[in-house]
Amino acid sequence: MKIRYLLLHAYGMGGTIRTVFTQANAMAAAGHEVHVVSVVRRADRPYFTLDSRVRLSDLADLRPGARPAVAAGSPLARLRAARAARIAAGPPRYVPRGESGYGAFDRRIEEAVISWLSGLGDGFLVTTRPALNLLSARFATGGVTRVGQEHMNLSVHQPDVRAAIAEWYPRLDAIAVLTFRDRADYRAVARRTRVTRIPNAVHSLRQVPSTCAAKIAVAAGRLRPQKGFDLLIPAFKRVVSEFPDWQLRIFGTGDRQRQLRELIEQHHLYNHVFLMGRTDRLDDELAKASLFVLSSRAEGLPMVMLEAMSHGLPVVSFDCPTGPADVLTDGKEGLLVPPGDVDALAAAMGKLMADEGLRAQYGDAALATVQAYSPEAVRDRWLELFRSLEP
Amino acid sequence: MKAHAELAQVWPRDGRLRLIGHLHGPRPAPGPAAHPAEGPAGETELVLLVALRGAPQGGQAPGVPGASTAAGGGSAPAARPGPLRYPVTLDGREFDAWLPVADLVPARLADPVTWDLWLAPPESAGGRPRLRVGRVLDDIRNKKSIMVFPGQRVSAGTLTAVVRPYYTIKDNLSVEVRAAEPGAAR
Repeated sequence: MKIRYLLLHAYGMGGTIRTVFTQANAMAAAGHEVHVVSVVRRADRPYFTLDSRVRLSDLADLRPGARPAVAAGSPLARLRAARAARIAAGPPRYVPRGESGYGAFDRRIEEAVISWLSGLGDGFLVTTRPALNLLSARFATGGVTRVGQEHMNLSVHQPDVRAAIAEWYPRLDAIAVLTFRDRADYRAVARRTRVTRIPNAVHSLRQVPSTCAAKIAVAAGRLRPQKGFDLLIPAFKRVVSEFPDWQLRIFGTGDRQRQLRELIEQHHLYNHVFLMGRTDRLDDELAKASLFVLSSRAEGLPMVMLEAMSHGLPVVSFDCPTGPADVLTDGKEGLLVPPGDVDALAAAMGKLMADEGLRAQYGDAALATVQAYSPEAVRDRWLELFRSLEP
Repeated sequence: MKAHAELAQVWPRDGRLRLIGHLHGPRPAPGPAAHPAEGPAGETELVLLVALRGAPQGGQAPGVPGASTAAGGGSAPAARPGPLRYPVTLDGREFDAWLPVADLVPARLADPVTWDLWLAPPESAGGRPRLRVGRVLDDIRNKKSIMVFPGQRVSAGTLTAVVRPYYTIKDNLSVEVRAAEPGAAR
């Protein structure tokens, strides 16, 4: 099978990039012909590991020094070239302004994507965010089978993006979403299109299991309001006097670091809650912990939670839209508490911090549950979708 | 690994800096000038020694307030004082000590000053042998940017200083004192 994945920036380090690489690697390992295409390129090498059998290319090389030289020639030709350059550097024509990736596009880059999409005559194309799904729906009309993957809940998109989705997603051959709630939501706006739930895979299930004995709770994600660390810190404050030898380690960077630091200082938690920054070894850090906490206000499918489960960590999570309840059963792999309820989050953490046996029991169940999210299991679900769409 | 005083908790609040932890490795033997424990057992075996970085360490500068007694609460030290000493409560290998952060603010503060912290026998010459106070036994590297503590504001006359403990790049604890930025509230 010939499978192409189109990413905005395959050379970056976001969660979407990682999960697409995991998919691509699993497909290549099964002998399929896989091509990852990056709309823009800002680095020499991808951050995540791509199987050597996967072809990687880009449509717009934005590395320093990679821009084409200005055309020489007659004054009129230079004038024309300057005008064309002005238009090329102008805003994109089809990508909605409310798409969070809008800023990465200009007219020239959008044209490069359209030109590439128009030339695809066979195989499968998986696009990975609204801007690319919309361009695929409009312009990849030459015979390729098109699957638009949505990593976000519909309600999270801006109104102009939602309107474009309602108009153009029905032209896609299929929409792949991550959660049950997303499946229902996207079905409602694209009634004639097939909407399939295929969760993302964790990058590996061969992980060092946690002993669940260390007095370390861990959380991870961008330091942004969405992740709710401003709720997690006060929740930890409520349990720290009962569990003074426990630590909470929060991994990630983001523009709320200063506010979170102030919250830690205000609650005098500087001996117990640590903003760990970015790590290249999250696997090792998860293996050292005994409890994973998800305090998000909203999620797609929380990959870091699945990664934590792959280390046999029990989970305490807000039952936020949309991911956690898809994966977790309250009282099986961990505890689900009402979204935004700081007291309930604290009580759930306290329950697990007090009981090593319960942590181990939930952790074992987490490891069993996460098997459904292995690269191989998820690859098989994609293959099933592709086969059902084959012309 | 060299013997040192391993921190578990650092509490910069209420005008004090309190340090809680345990002794790691052999305890420093009292120097030749040492006499037997003077107070209740376990209270004068070690003192918290706080020394201005770059200041002479050979002995105490006579007449420096706060440096001549183990009890804290002295006024601001003069320029280039000897080390300050504070009592340490020892319970087995566990230690607990505090000092008033106002002691660390010099009379004039053009440039930031840095204090380093040790535990040492009370009468040892120049505070040697001594145990550096730090946190090196856990798995967290780069504590300087991860285990970060708030500063406390201290006003003395027209001077307002911010006293902030921090981990050095070697994960030892030091205290920085710098003039507060005008208008910066905490």
